[in-house]
Amino acid sequence: MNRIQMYASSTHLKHGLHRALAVAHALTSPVEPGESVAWWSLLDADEQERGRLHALPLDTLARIYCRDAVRAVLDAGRVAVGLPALDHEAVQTAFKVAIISGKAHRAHMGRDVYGSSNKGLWDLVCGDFGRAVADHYGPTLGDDPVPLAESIPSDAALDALRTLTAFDTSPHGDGHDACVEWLASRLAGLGFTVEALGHDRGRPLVVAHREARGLDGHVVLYGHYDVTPFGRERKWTHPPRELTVADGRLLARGVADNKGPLACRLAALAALESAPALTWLIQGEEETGSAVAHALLPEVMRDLRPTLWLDETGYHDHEDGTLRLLGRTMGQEDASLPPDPPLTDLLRALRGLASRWGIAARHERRGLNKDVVEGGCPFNHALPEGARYLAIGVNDSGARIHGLNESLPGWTFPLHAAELDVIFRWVGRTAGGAS
Amino acid sequence: MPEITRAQRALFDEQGHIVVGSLVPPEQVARLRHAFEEQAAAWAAEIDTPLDDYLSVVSQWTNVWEHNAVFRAQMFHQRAAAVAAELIGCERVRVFHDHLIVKPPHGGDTIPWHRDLPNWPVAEPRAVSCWLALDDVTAEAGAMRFMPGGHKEPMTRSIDFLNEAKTWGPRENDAVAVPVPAGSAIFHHCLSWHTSPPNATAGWRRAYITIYMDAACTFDAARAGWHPMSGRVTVPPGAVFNEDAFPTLGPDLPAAALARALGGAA
Repeated sequence: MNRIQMYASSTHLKHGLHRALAVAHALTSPVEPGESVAWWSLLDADEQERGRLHALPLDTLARIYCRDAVRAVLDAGRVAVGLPALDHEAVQTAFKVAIISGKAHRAHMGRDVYGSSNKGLWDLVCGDFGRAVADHYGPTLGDDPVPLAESIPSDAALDALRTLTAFDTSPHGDGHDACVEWLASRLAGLGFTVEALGHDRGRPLVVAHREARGLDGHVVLYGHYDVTPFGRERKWTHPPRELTVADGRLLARGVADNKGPLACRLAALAALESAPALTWLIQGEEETGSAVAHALLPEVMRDLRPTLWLDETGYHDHEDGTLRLLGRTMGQEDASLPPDPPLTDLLRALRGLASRWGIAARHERRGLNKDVVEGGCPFNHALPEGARYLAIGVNDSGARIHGLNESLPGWTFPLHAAELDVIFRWVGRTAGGAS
Repeated sequence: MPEITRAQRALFDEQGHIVVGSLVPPEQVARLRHAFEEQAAAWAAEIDTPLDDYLSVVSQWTNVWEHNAVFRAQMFHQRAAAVAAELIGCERVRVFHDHLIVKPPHGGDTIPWHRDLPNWPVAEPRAVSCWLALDDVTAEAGAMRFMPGGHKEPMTRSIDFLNEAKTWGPRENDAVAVPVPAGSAIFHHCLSWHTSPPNATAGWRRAYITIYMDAACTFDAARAGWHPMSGRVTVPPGAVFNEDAFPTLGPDLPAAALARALGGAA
């Protein structure tokens, strides 16, 4: 949706037509807890799988773009970003021209003038819409589809995770201090000022802060560097004390809870040029009662009023990758209220982003399950009334947290890096007061 | 006996293009026009599209010689190949591909300023295009425009016509339109900067182009992001092109090429 180039105009046009419909649907369909939401539900049953993969041919897309329900979604999406409705007759004429050009090329190497037919249709459907979406949410949302097989963690993320999992930060481990030192060093390298609080009380709480880099607003991230015991190590299929990459998954104790999300975010931050102000709270006793965090976080968080509070991770359904979007506005005494309008806008953008990976989204209005364990999560407990809370990240429901063969899917890493980009731009826009 | 004069040779070296008058006699031009009309109707029928709709969209065809015997014979035109060989400075030339480019009455788009070689998977800048006019091509009809001497400037990357436009600033005044009558041809260097405007007349503006390169030119897979001929290359990068899709012409034409020139199997 964001680009069309001469030598790839057919591919870019097809991607753009899929993206325009996917993004328009994401920006306009309801944000209510319940069934999963997928843009390809707009399509006939025999079109849905290819639609999900952005692989429908142009003549099929032409028929789809004729349907009233589809036209309504496209127009609503345009209105949502301040554009007028499409001229659907002009769109159909442009489809006809682009289809003739494509057929001629395939049949006998005939063509128009270097993709001009494709560009004509692209201009109508994708051009101004893609620019408006990019202005609102950044270019990531409208970019090309990402095949899951090509969605793999960056070398930087894998290196960080390999290092993190090598520290024994289980309850009786000896790697906590070294892990804190390493985290502090990495965060300082990213421009954070770092403090480690509560040495005298237990495993220290890392409090890191970085000033804004080109974007308004403030995000508070939460995480933890301790892990649960290794359990019966001989029962693991892979060594639990070192990272293994196998069959698209990352295995070691703590990869899912919470070292994988930490590594992913560290690598993503290093690659992002712009970010709002960031505060990162990383505790070391989440698996053993969070004594230090319970004692210190209320004070640390008392005066923070960020645009968004971002929890340690989030989940996908392991069967089909469906993104669980846990977003809420905090009420009194930890009550979960519906997301306020700006947060609703972010949730819509995030499910639009997920459609690049061919996955649906499901909205839930709660915190992660740690909320309901005895003592609760010190981070979630200290969230102020009115806080915008989001749990999103790299985990899936097959992660076996605390169990044998704890693991993470690798494909979620690039998605979460892209999510951070969308989140940060949304924060900048929301805090900056833009509509 | 040379096909071009020393003055033409010097002019080509200086400006990067020359016009060779009366390359093809009027009766052959008429055959080529008729062949185009028949072939266009066949192509439109092939994709089940009314001819008018088809020609309002499709304006360029590559490898016409593989579809049509009249164009096949024209591609093997001995004098055109000889002129090309003299301009390149080689004994034998190889056809990179042919193409037919038409601008309908009061139609066609502007082809932006560009050079050809950056778009081709050909390593060496040793190629010329023979742009044979099938209609009288006046400036109003969309005559080619060249920037004289541009072929001597350093290699550049390809231009994305959908997103970029080469501009010259004041140097634009140096650009020249090169009108040619039907049957005459423009030979231009593969690094010439050229463009063409839409056809503003009531007549067709049709041209049949054959690209000749030194038969020793080699395949450079990395140069062009995409090219319709790349899929026809069966040799590894660095090798001379395969004869079946890129036939050679010269004093000792291979038997297979001669057979094709005479209308045999492609």
